Amino acid sequence: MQRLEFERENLRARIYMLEAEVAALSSLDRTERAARDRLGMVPARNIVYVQVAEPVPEAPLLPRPIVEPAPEFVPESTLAFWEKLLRSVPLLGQLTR
Amino acid sequence: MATRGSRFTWRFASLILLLVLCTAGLIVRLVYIQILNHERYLLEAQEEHWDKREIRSTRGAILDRNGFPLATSLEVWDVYIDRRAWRENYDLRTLRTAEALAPLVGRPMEALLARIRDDSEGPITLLLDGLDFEVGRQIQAMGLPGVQLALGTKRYYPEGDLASTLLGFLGREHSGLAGLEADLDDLLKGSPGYIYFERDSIGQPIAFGQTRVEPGREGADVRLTVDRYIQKLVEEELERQIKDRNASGGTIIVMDPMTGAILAMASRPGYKLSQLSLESASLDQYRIRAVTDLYEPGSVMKTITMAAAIDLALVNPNTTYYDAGSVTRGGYTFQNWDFSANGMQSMTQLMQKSLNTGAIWLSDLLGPQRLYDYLKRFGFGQATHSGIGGEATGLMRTNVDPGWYDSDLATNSYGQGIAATPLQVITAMSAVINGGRLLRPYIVQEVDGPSGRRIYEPVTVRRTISEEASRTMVKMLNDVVDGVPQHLARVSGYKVGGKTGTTLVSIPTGYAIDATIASFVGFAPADDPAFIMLVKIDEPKDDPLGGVVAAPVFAKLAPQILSYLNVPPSSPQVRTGP
Repeated sequence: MQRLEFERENLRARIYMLEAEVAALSSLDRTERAARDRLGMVPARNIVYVQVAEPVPEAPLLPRPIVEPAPEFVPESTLAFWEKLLRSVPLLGQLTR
Repeated sequence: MATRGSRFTWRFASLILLLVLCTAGLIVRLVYIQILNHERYLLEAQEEHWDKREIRSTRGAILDRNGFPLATSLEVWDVYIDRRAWRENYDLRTLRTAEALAPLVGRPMEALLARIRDDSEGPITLLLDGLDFEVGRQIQAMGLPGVQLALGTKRYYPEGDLASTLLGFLGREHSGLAGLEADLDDLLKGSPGYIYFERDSIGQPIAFGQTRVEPGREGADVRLTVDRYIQKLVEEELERQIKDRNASGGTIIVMDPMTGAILAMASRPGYKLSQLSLESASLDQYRIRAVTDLYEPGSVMKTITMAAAIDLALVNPNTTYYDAGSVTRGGYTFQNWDFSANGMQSMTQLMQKSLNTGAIWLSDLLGPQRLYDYLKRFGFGQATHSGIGGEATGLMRTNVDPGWYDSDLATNSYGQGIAATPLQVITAMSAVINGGRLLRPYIVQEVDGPSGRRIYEPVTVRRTISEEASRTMVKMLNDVVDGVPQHLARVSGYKVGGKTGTTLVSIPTGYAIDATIASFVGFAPADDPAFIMLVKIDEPKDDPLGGVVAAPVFAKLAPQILSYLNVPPSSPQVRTGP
């Protein structure tokens, strides 16, 4: 039991450390430093608005957030009759999830 | 003479009686122990044979609206020295321990040695807290006698000092002491679990003995409505303004007027999490001033007075009144802020020029009952119930309260003599422009924990004015900014609405004549607001006016926020400059 606890503590600490590392890598300050120092970017001086006949793009891609999205809920009514039947059987139901 | 056949003598009877009494006593005692006090002795036996070890729960993270962590936890070690393990060769053991630990903990050996030898703290001393997990494991592997490590957690802030005052901080027991860490402590901290195991006489677990696990509850992650990028923009600009204008402090709040979600909230003076010192005697710096501190809104309040009159159809934007430059009410004479007298003025011009005489004229039309009724409807004098701790309710003396005078109606109409928090003011202004709904401002968007996921929806508290009145007010507030060519809140390419405010700082004996609070509340785009912003700069030294000090802050931040929110301009054009 002690060995397993030891292992669990190690893994848990590692998970938190990795999450903190991901957070630090995607922080605003680091992003700005990288843009400035590595890519040579500067704050915009002239802002130019140009109207184009294209739809507005979707929201920019962001790093995967720490909080996982909740699993998608599938309403029972969309299931086929045989799926509903299988899900009502305790062991077999798990196979269809 | 007794017969030889009789054996039942008094001695025999006494013996029997004694045996019966002893037996009865034993039975009574057994009943007392085994039945009446069964639970107590069972517990004592369990305490002798069972022990428990705590399974710590990890504190939940605080995330911004897009899921980026603002505060998270790391596993660390606290290093203790137990001098009782060195009863023999004390000096040699302390030297060896300090020699082994110094390179791992990054401290000079002499300092460590002094600390280890200082037994004034008792046999067990906390040598170091917050030691890196991997380094702690190395120390564990070394098996140094007298060195004990206890697993703990440390709060880590990936965005540095961003939103310090809003987030708050933890105490040594990892409970929240200030800010949202304190307000949401019950959600974040979870509860520990326990492993119960059979132990031997020296407290060690028995191999293959019985165990029982009582699972704990991990802390929930809390996702705020705050956007880290907008928060950063707002904090940097606020600090710049306070420095440039030599102001004593300030507040900027950015909110979604359609939902009440707080997108950014910054106040100064505050503190930095990286330079936290709890030895400071002043607790003032730990409060979230945007919800705790009161101020007189000044001319921003004219928006509410006008909205009330519009809603009651007493006036429309083109209704006129005569501005003679001064008005006398209750024995006091009130003048416009610039001492001007403008003649015939429309309601729109009243707002554009921020005429005190016009606000007083409106208050006469409304009367005290209706004016205070609308002020209450817009939330003045009541808490907003945002969930942020320490929120003040504000101060408003109405015509039915003792100490009210006729002159109060005049001053209240243009925002003096009423005290409100910045959050109350921006919430009221949101209600003016969002169709007339007073929303409950909120800062927690979602809580995700072991018991499930809870999403917080916007809450409409009540209706304040009609939708039509709201549309009229939006148009008027747009005319206040875009209708005045020199207005410093104008944003190129976007339609903007807003109202400035300049108030004297109230002091116990009245008002300070040389100190003002300069404010501006603005929103953009005017026809479909993506955000509303309150800028409040306290005691700027270079210029006292809201239109000069606070409005340009809005003009500087608005394009950056609109661009970030992907809100296109209403008219594409080239704009030069930052």
